[in-house]
Amino acid sequence: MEELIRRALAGDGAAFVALMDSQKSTMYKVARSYLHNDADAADAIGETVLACFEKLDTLRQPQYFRTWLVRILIRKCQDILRERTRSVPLEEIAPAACAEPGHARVEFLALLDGLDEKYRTVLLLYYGEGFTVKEIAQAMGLKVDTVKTRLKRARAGFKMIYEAEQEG
Amino acid sequence: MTEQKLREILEQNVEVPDMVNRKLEETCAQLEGERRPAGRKGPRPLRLALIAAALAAGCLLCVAAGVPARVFHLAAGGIETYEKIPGGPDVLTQIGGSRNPISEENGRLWLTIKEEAPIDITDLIGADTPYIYDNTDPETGYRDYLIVGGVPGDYGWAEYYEVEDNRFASCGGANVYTEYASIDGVTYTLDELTPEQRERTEHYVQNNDEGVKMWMEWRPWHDAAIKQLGIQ
Repeated sequence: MEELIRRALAGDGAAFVALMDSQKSTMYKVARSYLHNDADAADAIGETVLACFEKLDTLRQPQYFRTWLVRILIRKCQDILRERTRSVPLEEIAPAACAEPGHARVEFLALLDGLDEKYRTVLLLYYGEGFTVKEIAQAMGLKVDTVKTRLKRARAGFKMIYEAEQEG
Repeated sequence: MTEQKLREILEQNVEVPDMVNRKLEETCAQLEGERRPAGRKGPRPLRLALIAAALAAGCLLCVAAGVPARVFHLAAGGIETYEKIPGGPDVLTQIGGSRNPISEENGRLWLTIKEEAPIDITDLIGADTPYIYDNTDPETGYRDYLIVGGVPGDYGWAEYYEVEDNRFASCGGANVYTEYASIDGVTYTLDELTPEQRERTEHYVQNNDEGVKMWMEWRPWHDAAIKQLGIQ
């Protein structure tokens, strides 16, 4: 991935596109964990790709690319949430995806949707994307101790939801 | 629920919906249409005015915060400024954008410095032999080096400038190292990996797959240049 980043930094448009494509699953999971619906997640990802293109020169250490990318994405998601709160009555917000047996994507996301927002992304980044506690703190603008606390509570919450799903 | 189980559930590949794929494609197509070098954003007008003022003064300013401390006219084209915010991050701004200064035509390699005419450097460089262009500013003494090397079909470049005394930063480059992955005892370059092997390398990066190792090796011509310059 570092080679792609270097090439993108040097102005290689194809490398930039390949770089974004390599991260689309991560971006989708994170955006979806914030926004609950695919249309908003797509908008957040589109905005993130544009911002990355504009700001790539601020990335001086390629090894932090994923943290940097997720930080931008989270800000875009928060912008959309703020905008949505201003413009749409709460009851009109699209409901969270329902679990459909045999549909891995929806099942997985529906489980996450059962968690409070402040726990979802922490859990996803740590277990799903391999981020360290420090990287999550940097990406989300939180203190390391706050991430640890949220992670602990997220684990407990997810366990309850998962087990209830299995029993139901 | 174990940590392992949590990972199994949360790290599973998620099918990215068509709507998101389409958005990504549209956005990338839009960027391609702009034909602007990736990541080289023009500075804000106020900042541009400050930089222009510094350039007009013909000097490198170390005054109020926000004014560039060092200005470099890059050998690969464009202008880059560097400033160190006390207690804060390094701030770099590029105007104009660098571009790949080396190109291949009919089996020959051509080097273009700034806006000068291309020169044929095919016989001056090799897999182990770099060509170093010393772009040190004669007025300030701040050092800036453009390094190129390789052979037709496999060549690269890098530019390093001096942000502080004897501390250099990269301000562009391509094809200066090769990334390798060893998967179950067999070594590949990253370009040779199958999609399945790529997935395993991603997994390795995140979770330390036991059967995978990854590393990178600088191109010999790059190593030789760095050693010759003594800048790392």
